[in-house]
Amino acid sequence: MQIAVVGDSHVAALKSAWEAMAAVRPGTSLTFFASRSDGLAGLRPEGDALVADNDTLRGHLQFTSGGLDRIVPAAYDMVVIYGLRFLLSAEDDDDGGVYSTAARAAARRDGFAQCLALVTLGKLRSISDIPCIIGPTPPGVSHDAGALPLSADELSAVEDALQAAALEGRGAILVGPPLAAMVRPLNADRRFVDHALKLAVGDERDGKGVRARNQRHMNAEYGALWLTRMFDRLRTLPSLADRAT
Amino acid sequence: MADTTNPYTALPEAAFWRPAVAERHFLDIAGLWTPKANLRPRDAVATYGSCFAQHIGRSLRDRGYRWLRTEKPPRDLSESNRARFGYELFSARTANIYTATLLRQWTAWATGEAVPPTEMWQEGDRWIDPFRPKIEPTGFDSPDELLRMRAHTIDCFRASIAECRFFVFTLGLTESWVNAQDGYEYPMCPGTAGGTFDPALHRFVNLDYDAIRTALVQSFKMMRAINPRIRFILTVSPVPLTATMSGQHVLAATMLSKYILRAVAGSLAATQDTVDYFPSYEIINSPVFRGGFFEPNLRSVSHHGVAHVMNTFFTCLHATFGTEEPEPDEAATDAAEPATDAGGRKAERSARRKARRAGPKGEDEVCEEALLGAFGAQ
Repeated sequence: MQIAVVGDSHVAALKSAWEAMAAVRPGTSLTFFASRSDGLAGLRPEGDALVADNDTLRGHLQFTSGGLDRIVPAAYDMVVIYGLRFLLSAEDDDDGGVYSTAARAAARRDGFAQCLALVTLGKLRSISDIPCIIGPTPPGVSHDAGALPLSADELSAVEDALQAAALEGRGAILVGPPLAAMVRPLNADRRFVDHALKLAVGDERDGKGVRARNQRHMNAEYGALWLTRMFDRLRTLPSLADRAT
Repeated sequence: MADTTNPYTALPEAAFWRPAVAERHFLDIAGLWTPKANLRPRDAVATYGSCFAQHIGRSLRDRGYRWLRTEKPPRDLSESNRARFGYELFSARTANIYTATLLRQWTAWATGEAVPPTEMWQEGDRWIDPFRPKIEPTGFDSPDELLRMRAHTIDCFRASIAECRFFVFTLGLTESWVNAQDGYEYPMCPGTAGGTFDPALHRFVNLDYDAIRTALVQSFKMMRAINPRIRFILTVSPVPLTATMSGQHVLAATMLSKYILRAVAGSLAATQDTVDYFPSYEIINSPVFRGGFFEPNLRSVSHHGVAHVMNTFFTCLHATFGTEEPEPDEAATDAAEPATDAGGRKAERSARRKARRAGPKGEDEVCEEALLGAFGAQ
């Protein structure tokens, strides 16, 4: 199974994890196309591919993919769009009750419309109907040492709401954060940011640890848990089940 | 032989029509306003009033002045949806406050001197706030949500009074509709932008000079109780009435209502040190400007007109107090220039300005009153 993983700096956790996981999944190939921050905003559809509209992004695509300067969906069985400011959040942020339901819903729609993950999905959909998984930007870490684990039902409720609100009709399926990494109310356990590394794109910052104040960039352990959850989810999708190992 | 020491000999050029107006290109007429107090970029400014008032806040914001917005939109709400939901049109989400008596009503609610009515209009399963009927594009979810949101806006309105240094209010209309039973005022006639008109309950009032002046004086008094340092800048909207219930022709009714509003504003500015009047009405409506700042419907003020008004506002501040030279909004110029302009000045100005111009801004007013146009003969 050929998978293209398209994303921002959060892809670093998946890439690190995959280096260790690839050997035990011989039938699966992951090709990463990533750039830090909003670099992927420079992707544009051209023919049957997504191409970079600037040299910096082109270089990042080549570096992270191992030489490819464009994303050709037809070369893969599915695409994963990861991070890119697609935030996992509860349906109702705590706003102190000062907004109407309609205003909050409109703000939520507007937020999705501006979200780079969904903008990228839109570009992908303009050239391909390939199956697509959306992996949200990891949740911020908890500062509560005694935070209780999140339950499967609690996580499902958030994911179901987000799937309906953001991805309905867009031909993409949400695979949220791994339950084992989550604590209440909707955060990651702090240990998953330990030893997290910057995304390597071929510059002087490659291989450096993320800043101490990092709240969302996760380590390879988190990446492995997310990839495992994603592969489990693929087995439930009729169109991909026979190819998911 | 004329006495060369009469009082007119000491007057400045601006006091004489020929040098101040007739011999100038209309875009070069200067000194239309001598502000009483300096409005500095750090001074918090609250803005409310009729549709035209929306331009004042945006212009303050765009020029780096401190336009107060005490009622914040939800995070991520787009610019267009902010306007649809009535955010950042004024300092709080009051929607248009067309009359002086409506201002007094909002102020009384904010100070606790009056309790907001519980009246609301149901449309299907949605709920409309009679005091800002278009504030939610599809109405509120429930009576509870409507009252909660209105209470929040009243809190924010009060906060803007408490925090501002300048309260800018644009007077728009003299015509209003009141609840005959309880005396409160609606911004729009029930049945036009929501609700159902009941001739036994809904009464038309055309406010006269005394009523408007009294309402403003009472509003200012209530606001000073919250904020003793507050200063007021009054303007009169140059936008004509969409429709009149007065029985007069709409043109005659427009002129009468604007003149009354102008007279009240002038009287208050002349008699109260903390009240000023800025002549936006005159800048758009004076025959000197030849109607050049109106759109073809001769009602809507063009972006160029708005820009010229606001350029005048800041230029006069600068001329009076020597504050930093404002960045003029170039939208004020080219389109307003008449085809009859002589001497090739238009071409020169256009060439000079086009090099710098980013183009007119595209933010339109949100104006419920314009809905009345739909009820006229087609």
